[in-house]
Amino acid sequence: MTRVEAWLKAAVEDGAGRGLEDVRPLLEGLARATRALRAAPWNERAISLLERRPAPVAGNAGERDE
Amino acid sequence: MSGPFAETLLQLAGRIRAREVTSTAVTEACLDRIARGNARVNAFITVSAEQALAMAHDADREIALGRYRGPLHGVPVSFKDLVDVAGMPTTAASRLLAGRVAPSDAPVAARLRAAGAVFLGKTNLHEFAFGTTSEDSAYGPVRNPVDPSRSAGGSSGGAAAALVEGMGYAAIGTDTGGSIRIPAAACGCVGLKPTFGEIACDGVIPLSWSLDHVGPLAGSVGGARATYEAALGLPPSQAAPPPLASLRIGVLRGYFTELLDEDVRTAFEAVLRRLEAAGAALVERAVAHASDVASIYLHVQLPEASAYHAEAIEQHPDAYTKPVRLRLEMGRFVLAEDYVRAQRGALLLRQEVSAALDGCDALALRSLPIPAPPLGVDAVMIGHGSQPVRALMLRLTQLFDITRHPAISLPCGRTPLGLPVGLQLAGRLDRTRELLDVAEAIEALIGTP
Repeated sequence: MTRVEAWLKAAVEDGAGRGLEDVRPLLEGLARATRALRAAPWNERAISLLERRPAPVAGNAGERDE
Repeated sequence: MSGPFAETLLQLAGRIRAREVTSTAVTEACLDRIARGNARVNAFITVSAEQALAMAHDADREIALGRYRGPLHGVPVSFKDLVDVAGMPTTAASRLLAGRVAPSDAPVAARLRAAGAVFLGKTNLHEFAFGTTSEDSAYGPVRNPVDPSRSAGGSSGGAAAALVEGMGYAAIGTDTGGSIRIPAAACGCVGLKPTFGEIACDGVIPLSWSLDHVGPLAGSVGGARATYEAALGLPPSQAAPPPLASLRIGVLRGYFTELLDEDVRTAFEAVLRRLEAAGAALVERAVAHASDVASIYLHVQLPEASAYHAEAIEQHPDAYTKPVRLRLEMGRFVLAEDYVRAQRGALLLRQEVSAALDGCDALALRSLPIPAPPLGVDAVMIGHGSQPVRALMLRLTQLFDITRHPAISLPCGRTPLGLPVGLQLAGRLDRTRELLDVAEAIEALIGTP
């Protein structure tokens, strides 16, 4: 199970537990957006913009989703 | 030209200054239009008739004594009901804040008060500015003046609807994903989002602190400029707009033209042809990674909004309209690492937009990919498929909230059904006045509404 899928499952369960079943489609839409954000090709280059450091060497960029 | 836009703010200001008309008479006319027309469009939540007339009398007295303060002196204006105006309720169109009265002016209100403007009241909006249609409001939806079965756009829908109905000559709104430019385009007026931070957001209920902007709406670019300058305490601009033949306009295509209603496309292309015929140079421009703007926007706006409402949503969840409550709940699930990714993406897009502006006086695109949608629908047909209304309404405006560049929407025609279409221009960071110069030059060609 990918990280986004695990997150979505937990979020939907949390929402349902609080009587917010209607939040599920919104969370599913957010999950799609999160996958797109994480998969965007500019992520490594953009690290240096905020943290003001060189982008990490390829292979050290951390865990990625699909 | 007839109707409420028969006279621009600057034309009215000239007549007030010359004492051809009194502020009192103008204010009474606006209050009369509100009394007769507000039930139809639901633009106002609070109307401060007594205070407005007192301010108008004061303006007339001062002007008679030769103490003219500037173009806003004696001119009736309104404020989106997120902005604190001393002694008036600030409801954010929510039951949560019912009965809350502002103890003091937000800085933008204080500046307009110092400029001698007359305060008509507080305009309706999408609850807590968290929407693009102004239909989720504890005070009922705002209705489009052109077709009341349609949305006025949002979230500053009341501000735009009020202007188009002649209920004032300028309005103050806020813009986080497009909430000044969207209703301006939907209703047929001018809406300016200045560079981020130019007009202070203090005393304004926030939606998303790193995306919120305060800005003016008016019936003309000149009126928006005069209101913007008054809000900053700047002296009125004197320079004439540049000749069209001197302008180089970057036309955004690709992502910005993939999803477009055909009537909107037609109106926009007609404006481009007129610009070319008038001598303006049009060049194609692209913004790299523009297709990621929606995911970046979501992951910034949602958690910032949810953080602000965290305590209230726990204690008073039922005080919110359901759609707004659900979106706030959704924002609580955004992971911190994705918020940071999105902020990195925002910085990257800022560089890309600045690069696209290189060699251009402004970028041009539509304000909305569709005309004002019907009230009560979540999706509309566009092209060969159905698309969510909310995402469509934000699609072309949210970029410049993320990147913080100034952007303005001005009317550029109508669909065959008579629905307004907006032209959006974006300019360089911290060069809002230059963007207004370009907008005035283009407006002179395509006309005020």
